[in-house]
Amino acid sequence: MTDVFWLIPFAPVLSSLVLVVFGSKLSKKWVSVQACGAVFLSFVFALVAFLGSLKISPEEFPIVKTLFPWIGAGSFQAGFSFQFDPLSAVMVLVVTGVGFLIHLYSVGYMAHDKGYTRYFAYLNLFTFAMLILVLASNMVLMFVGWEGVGLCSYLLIGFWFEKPSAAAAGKKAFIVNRIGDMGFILGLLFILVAVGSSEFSAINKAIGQGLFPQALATLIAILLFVGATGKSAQIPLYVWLPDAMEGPTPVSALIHAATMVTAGVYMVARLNLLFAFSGTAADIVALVGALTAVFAATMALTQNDIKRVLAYSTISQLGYMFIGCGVGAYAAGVFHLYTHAFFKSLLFLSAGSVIHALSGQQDMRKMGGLRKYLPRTFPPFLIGAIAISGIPFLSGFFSKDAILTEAFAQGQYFVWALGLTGAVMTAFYMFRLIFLTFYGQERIEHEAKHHLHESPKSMTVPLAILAVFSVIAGYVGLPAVLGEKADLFKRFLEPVIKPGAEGHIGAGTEWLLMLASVAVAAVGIFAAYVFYLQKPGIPHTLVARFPWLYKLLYNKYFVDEIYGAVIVNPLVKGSDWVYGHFDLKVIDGALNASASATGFFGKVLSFVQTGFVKDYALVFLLGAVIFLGVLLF
Amino acid sequence: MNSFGAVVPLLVVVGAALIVFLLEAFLKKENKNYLAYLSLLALIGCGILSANAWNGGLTYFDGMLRLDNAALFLTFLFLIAVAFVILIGMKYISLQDANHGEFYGLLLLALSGLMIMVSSTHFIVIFLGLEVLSVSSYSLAGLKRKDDKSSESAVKYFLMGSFASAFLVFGLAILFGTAQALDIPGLVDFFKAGPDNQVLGVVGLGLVLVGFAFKIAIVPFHMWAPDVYEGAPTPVTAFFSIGPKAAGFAVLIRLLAPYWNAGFRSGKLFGFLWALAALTMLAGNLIALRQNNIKRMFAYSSIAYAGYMLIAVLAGDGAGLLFFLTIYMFMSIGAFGSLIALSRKGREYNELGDFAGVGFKYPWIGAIFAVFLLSLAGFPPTAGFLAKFYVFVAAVNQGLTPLVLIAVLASLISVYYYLRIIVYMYMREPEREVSIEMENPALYLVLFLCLYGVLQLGLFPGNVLYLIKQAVAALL
Amino acid sequence: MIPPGYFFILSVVLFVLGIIAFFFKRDLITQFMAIEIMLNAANLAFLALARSSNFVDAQVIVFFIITVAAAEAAIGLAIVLLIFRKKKTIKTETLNSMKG
Repeated sequence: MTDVFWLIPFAPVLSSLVLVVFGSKLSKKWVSVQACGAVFLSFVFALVAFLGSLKISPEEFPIVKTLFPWIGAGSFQAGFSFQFDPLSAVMVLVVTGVGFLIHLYSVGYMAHDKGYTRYFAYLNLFTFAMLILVLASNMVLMFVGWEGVGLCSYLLIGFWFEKPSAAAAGKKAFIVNRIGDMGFILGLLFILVAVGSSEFSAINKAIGQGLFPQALATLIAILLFVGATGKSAQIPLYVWLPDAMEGPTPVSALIHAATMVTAGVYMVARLNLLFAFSGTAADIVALVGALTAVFAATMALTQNDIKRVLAYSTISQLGYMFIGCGVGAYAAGVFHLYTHAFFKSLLFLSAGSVIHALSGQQDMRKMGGLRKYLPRTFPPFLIGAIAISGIPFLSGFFSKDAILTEAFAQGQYFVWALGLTGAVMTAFYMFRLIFLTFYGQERIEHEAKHHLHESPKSMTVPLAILAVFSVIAGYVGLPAVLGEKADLFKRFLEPVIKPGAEGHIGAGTEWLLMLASVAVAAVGIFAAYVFYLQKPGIPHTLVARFPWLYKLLYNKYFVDEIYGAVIVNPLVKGSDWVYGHFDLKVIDGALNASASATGFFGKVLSFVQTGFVKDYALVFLLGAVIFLGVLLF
Repeated sequence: MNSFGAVVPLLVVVGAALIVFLLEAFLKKENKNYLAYLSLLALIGCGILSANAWNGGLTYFDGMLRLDNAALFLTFLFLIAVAFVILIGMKYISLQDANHGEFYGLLLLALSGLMIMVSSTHFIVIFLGLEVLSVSSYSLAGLKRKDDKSSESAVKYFLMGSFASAFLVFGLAILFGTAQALDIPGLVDFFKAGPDNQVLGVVGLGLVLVGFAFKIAIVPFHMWAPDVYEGAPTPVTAFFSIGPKAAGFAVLIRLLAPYWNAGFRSGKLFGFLWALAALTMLAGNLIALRQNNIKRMFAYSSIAYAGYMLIAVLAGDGAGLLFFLTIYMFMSIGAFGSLIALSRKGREYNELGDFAGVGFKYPWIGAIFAVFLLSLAGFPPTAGFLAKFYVFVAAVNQGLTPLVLIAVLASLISVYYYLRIIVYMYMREPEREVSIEMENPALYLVLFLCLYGVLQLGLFPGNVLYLIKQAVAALL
Repeated sequence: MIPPGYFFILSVVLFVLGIIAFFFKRDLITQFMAIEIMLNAANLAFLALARSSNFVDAQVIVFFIITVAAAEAAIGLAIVLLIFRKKKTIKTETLNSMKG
């Protein structure tokens, strides 16, 4: 039954082609049916393959299916081939399952958009690329998917291209991701040179046989991780993700929360042997993950845009996944990826429902008291918030706890402490969001209140389904205290992720750690309650007391501005916005001096291109003289 | 094997060119398309003859003309390229009011020059081929006689071209005097032996390389290219972007690759070419960022591409180079073909602003153009990705990692301006009225074939790689 | 007999003079003549070097180069004529509509 897995990616791409070619001739209804149906078909295939794979003995993984030989010249081969193993199974189920629900939701959300067909064409193309990414059996094909999802993400962020901010956000995402891609490409090239193949099985075998010097493994792992920081929005390349919220909300849920941004985590988990072998690289992954988890959480504390809070929250949660991978608990990292896909897409979709209800309002200062107006949006939203905050018995608790426990057990106390700090803030900003949106005074603008309405069924039904999964998804990976066999998820992944030397801690310690996480979550929620419901004056007092801190957080540490000044401005000429902000706010004129090295270079060169033949001949002559000079002396 | 058969393909092409010139005088204006059909027929005939010579190793003129497999492979490439250029030019020529007979005839003559260049290892023959190519190219550039830019590009190309030729010839004279030989094996032996009078020999070699660097548009010998590309009639530009470049690189790799194994890799020559490759990629892409005229942007893009190809030369990777050239032919002709698709009588749309909203107004042209752009930018799974990928891998294998680093960086920069066109096509409201001539079946055929080539080579390059493997045995 | 080396030096001088003339002259025809001088310098070099090593090939090569130069001249003059008909001048500095 598992053999059908290679069919999984093709329904979406066919659907996308049909939409591109015949889209204008199809009625809206058929567009929706066809687009959602295609993803559903993929989901069915994925489910069949998954159920089949449960009966297969671990030694037989991965099952490889080569569709056709692709690149084959001399030293190395790369086929257009897919592989299926527990890790891919988890990923395809998440991509197609959550993807299907989001497609369904989009039918309602995008109903009145004039780019309806285009939207689904892009979305299905994205699904295809993402499936290629997770099913590829070699890194070259994985790179195809990697670039494909990047391209679709770019197209979808800039979907409402009439808005200049959307176009700019698309551009930013694109450029930042290219920086990461450069790391990926170089890592890939080194792997090819070292191993002579980019098949995952060959890479793992080479590591097993000790063909890699450790330094080379570290170099490759770090280069690849640079790629991962781009795609998965980690320090220092996270800046594109908050801006990516310019895209339609379902896109944020699918691409920028549940699937694409987890590609980096997937890659690290996929190459876990490489990272584990390097050691150093794994430590870097853990550290970057932990720093990102806290850093992004602090920025989420002060945002007023509902989607931006969720965006920073996503960055922070991705950080947790990397902590998991970095401390060697790859299964826990992937587990968090899987639970996060449910509750974060739930949060995004609910937020979308709120925005939809308020005719596009995203500013939480203009919400409040919405509980009674949105009776079918509020409960799912609340469930999502509880799940992400790490309250016991919901999915987020199990996965986050697994990561933090493992970090502690491995002796990475610093990372663990950072993770715990992040957890307090997570609970705080999530409940701040809940209280500001659904409780307290109504601050809704008159016009918006007039149109206030609950969202249609096609939107609220996916919310309900996701809410159910946000509650129950965690029960496949219970903590080790509850018995050796309790962690089904980990055992399922064992064919891919060999259980390493795990740190052992006593049951008592583990209970204690669990208690600690619950305690910090409770503290966070309580603080949010005090700050935003009981004594709403406190935040203002705090802002008044520590204006610089608030300003720093509110402006996201000015990272955008600094990047803008140092990197973006030279590359993208005329980014007036950056220049304005930079000039107005940031302290340092000296940074400005680093302006436009590249732009300058291009300018000089094209200045030489005067149009006069004699100047051309002069450059030619100079070139020739220098050439001869170099050769002779 | 010494056989007259080695000359016949060449004779077919030259003969057809002369007949076209002759018929041009007698045919009525509405019948001028027959000239195109005649030229295509000649190309097919030449193709069949060349195919028969595959693996034959025919030579003639005391080995001065040598149809080894590398020469034949490149000949096929040129035949396809010229056939495509003729097809995309048929309608264009009458729309832009240029002269039919001259276009086809001169193209065929230029083709014969290319064929001569790649079918010889003797520098005098190569020089003759180069001049046949150049002289035809100068006039091709000026074919739109009523257009100021076209004439200007012709005169610029002519002046710079002859200037460069003079360097080349002088270099040949010096080489000849010191090495007493002008055939590539002889020269290779001379330099490998490391004789006393090498200094003079190196000067000669340097001047010869400068001449070829001009032809393939390597920075800083590239400055003619943007102006000529911009001004020349678009089909001719498509031809320039691939023909002379491919032939020049073929000669370069024949001449240079044998050295790299003999300790020359650390030498100054290698170092300088290394620097030129880096400079070419960076400069080409950086200036392209600033262009708003798409034809000119493609000119800079093709300069940058010469940089990537130079990496293949430095890595001594003949197979990679041939593969790269093959793919570049499809991408480049496809891209210029898409530009031609956006033209009507007496008007071409080459400004970036003209492309706003084109993706919605002409969905097919927009989509096909987008594929070529993605391929040029190096996105998988298009062929453009594989082309770069092969070359980069070969280069890293040869220890050229820093150069590959620069190349990756440069190609990341390039993504920006390729994507910008797509953004204009799909994410902008039209700025001005663009109306195009839709009835152009030959052009659409070429676009389709190029699209097929770009996808076929990106997904199933096996067959072509097999041919290349046979061809490259002769190259090195 | 004059040693061949002298001829070679003369050819280098001619070549350099050609380059200088190319830069100092301001109309297309004279610039083209400068290029012709450069080509002929190469011819002279061929002959000089051939004589020193008794190679007959060089004299054949020279004929090739002369032919090529003639072909270039034919095309070149046609192009110059084309420019003259349009602009009524053949000054090179009038030709810079394309740049950047």
